[in-house]
This record gives sequence, structure tokens and C-alpha cells, in this order.
Amino acid sequence: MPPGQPPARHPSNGDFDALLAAARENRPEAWERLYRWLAPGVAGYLRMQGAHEADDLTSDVFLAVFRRLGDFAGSEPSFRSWVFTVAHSRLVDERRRWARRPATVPLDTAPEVFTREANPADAALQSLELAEIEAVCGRLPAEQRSVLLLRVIGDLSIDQVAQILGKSPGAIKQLQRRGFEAVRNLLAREGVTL
Amino acid sequence: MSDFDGNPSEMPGHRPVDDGAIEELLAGTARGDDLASLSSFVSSVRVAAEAVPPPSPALAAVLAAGFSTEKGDLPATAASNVNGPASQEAGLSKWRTAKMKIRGFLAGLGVAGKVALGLGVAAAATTGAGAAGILPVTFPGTSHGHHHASAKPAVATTTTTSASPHNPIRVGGGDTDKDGGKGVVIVTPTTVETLTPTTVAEPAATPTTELETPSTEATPTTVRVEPEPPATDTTTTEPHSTMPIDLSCALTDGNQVRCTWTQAPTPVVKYSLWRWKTNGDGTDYGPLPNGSDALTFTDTTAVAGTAYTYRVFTTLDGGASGPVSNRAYITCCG
Repeated sequence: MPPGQPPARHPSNGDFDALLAAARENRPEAWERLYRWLAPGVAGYLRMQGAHEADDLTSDVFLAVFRRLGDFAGSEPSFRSWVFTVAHSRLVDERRRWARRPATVPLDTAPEVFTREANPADAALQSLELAEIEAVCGRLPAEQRSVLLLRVIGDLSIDQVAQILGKSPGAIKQLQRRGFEAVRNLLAREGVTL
Repeated sequence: MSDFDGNPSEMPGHRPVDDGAIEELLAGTARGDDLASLSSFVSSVRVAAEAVPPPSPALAAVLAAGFSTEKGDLPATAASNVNGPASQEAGLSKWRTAKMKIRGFLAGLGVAGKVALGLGVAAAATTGAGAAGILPVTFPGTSHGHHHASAKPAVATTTTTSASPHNPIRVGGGDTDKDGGKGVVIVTPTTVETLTPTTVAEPAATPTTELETPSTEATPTTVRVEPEPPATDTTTTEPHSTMPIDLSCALTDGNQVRCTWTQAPTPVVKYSLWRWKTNGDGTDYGPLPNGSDALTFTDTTAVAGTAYTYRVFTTLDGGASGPVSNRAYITCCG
């Protein structure tokens, strides 16, 4: 898969206020639009955090979000941040219940994850498989993993991540620096080549 | 859990990942061999988080029919899901608890029993989720009129890593995307910026009902924004103000799709226009045969009535992946 970009910031055409208003009016099509917009990122975040049942937990998150839409008013970035706040809270709750660590897959059993291809189109598809991604994420310290995933998947700002995790922006910056270094070291140490 | 603490000294040959490099990584504009592996990591993480997850039965019911009353009460099947761990047996929503019990039951079944039971469960699940428009066999627009057009489509029903270079575009394949959408409207690149908050944050309000975990659940922003009337939405293009390349696709008179895009902000050696069925299974994912430095391409192989997603990827000098475009959604030739 070719490299991606930050997730779509808007559910549709920038008319977030209108969409939010429709969702508040209990219009299911508006909920569905919100779900299709943010659920992939939420599910991915939960899955790569090692959530026991990421898809089910995602549904729980959105049920809570839809139920509480009447309490929300704000911009699209605020909404996105709020949804991931709910998701992170649910994740914390689930961990308390299950006391389960994220599943990891030893990289020494995984195939080479990067290869150099002469054909750029093919090279674009030479990407980390899901299990390998989860393995890399699972071997990161928990706080680094949370920061990286919220930044990468949630497309959240430093300040938003800081608010979700209850840390200072400076601490988040340090965690993301160390997290990316850890990822790079992990990939390099496992013999991954480009 | 962790094997690494991120100590840069472990890799003395690499320059540290500073804040600027991280922002470039997140924006998809990072360059240089030092960041190549991280760029791929970021991309792969995002790709792995692109599939729309199937909704739970409770959520499917809500998506299909909404909450049951004007006061926002949930359908019976959904209500059990939102009360939070504190009010649930062992901290689990009822249906999830039930599912665990079912799993235990299934563990004791033979193969024939599982098959027989699976048929019934699959039929029921299909009905619920299909009604919500989430299952791939039912494009969301079929049940909600024009609203489907601006929902972010699912790239694939499973993880998008299922795409393979060995599975090029299957033009003549089955078509499950008959959503009736027509054409494409490009969103101006200023969309995101114009949506900066127009309100001032205030302390969060207490929810009217207790639905979340008390200690960890955040309360939403409470400043009210007077909503504008819902607009009729016929657009089919992902907003792309954050994308380095602006891609626009439109139908031509000859039942073709003509795509044009802006020049990448950084030097690239090649633009690759990719196309896949918007609600397909990922096997029709692949590059169109443009592969050059041109900034336009006309797709002559799109099938009428099929919803496609287009996106431009680039290759930097040396083979690394470069900036990408927004996604453009279009239903061919209707």
C-alpha cells in the first residue's frame, strides 16, 4: 500500500456544523457518516493498542458518542479529539477489565517488511503488514505508543494528545520523539532494509 | 512490553528524529533515507486504520433506525451498550458478555454444528448491519439517498493491506457499487482552515445522563455553535486541504474519467494515479498506466455504474515514496 496521508479531517465537504446538527436531530444517516468517517481510525487505534475486541469497542465508543452528541458543540477538530478521548477512555477501561497486554508478534518470525522495488507502483505496496505493525506498536512503551498512534491515526495535535493523555505538551513531544526513535531502532535492529 | 526505549544512541548513524522531522512524517512530506523507514511505518499504520469496522448489533440498530425516542433513549438492544462499565456485569456490556458466552458455547460444538449455527448467525448479522449500510454489499447511499456521497468510503472491507501488486485493477469484475452517484465535485483546498473554531472553549458541561465511565471519560466541549441548516450534499470528493497534491476527477463526454492534479510541493520523478472500487474488496486496487511526470490522466477503463476512488502517489528520486493527493470519488459514466 502506498504511503498514506493524514486521515481525512472532514466527514464531508467541510460542512461539519451541518452534519453535527443533523446528527443531533437523530438522523441515522448523519451518524453513519460520522461513523464511516472516524470509525476506521478509532478501530485502528484500539486494535494497535492491543484492545481485546477492537471492533466491538469501537461500536461502544460510537454509541456513547452518538448518545452524547447533544452535549457537544464545537469545531470538527474538537469533535475528532473528543471521539478519540472517548476511545482512549474506553481502552483504559478495557485494560482494567482484562489486564491484557497488547498482542505482539516476534519480528524474527515475520517476513521482511521492506524491499526495494524497481517498479514504483509495486514498491508502493511493499508495506508493513498489519501483524507487523501491531508487533512494532506492541513493543513500544505504552505512553510512546499512545502518543504515536494518536498523532498518526487520530491526526491530533500535540495539545490535543496532551489533553487526552493528561500530560504536558512538552512531555508529549518528548514521548513522540522517543517513540519514533524506538520504531526506527526496532525496524533497523530487526534487519529491515529499504 | 517494550524492548526499546527510544534511545537515539542505539543508532549512532541516524540523526535524531526532531520535532520538525516528525511533522514532516505526519504530513507525508518527509524526505531522506534517515526517515524512510519511519515514513513507511507512518503510512502503514494509517493504511491499517482505513477499513471501516463492522458495527456491533446494537450500533447497527442505531445506525439503521436511530434512537428510539426524541429524548434520545436507545433501542433496547443499544441501551445496554452505553451505560458504561460501572453499570454492567463485570464491566461488560450485556451483548458483549453474551457473545463471550456464545464463544464458549461454540468451543464445544462440532464442525457441523458450527456451520449450521453460523448460517443462521450470518443471516441475522447481515440483516442488521446491512440495514445500517455498513456491510460491503450495501453501499451506504442505497439506504440514505444522496447522503452516501460525502461519507468517507471504506477502501476495503478488511484491512487494506489486502491490496496486492499482484491484484491489479479488475475492470470487469462484479459490481456492488451501484449507488447512483454521478460526477464529482472538488472541494476547495481551504476547507480545513475555514473550519477553525469559531467559538470560545468553556468548561465542559455535565451530561444529562450518565453514560460513560465516570473517572476516565472526557466530557465534550460545551460551547454551542448555532448550526447552519443541513446542506444538500452531492459532493463525492474527500476534502484535501491537508494534502500536498490536489486531485480532481470528472466525467468526460466519452464515458471516461479525466483526472488532473497539482504539482507536488517537492520534486518527484513520477506520479502514479491509483484507482480502486470505492466499496470494493480491495482486490481491484492498483495503479493506472500513467506513470510519468504528467499532471493529468484519462481513465478509459472505468465501468459504468461503478464507484471509484482515485488517488495520486508519487515517487521521489531514489525510489522513496513522496507526497500523495487527496482521494477523489466518482461514479463512472452514469
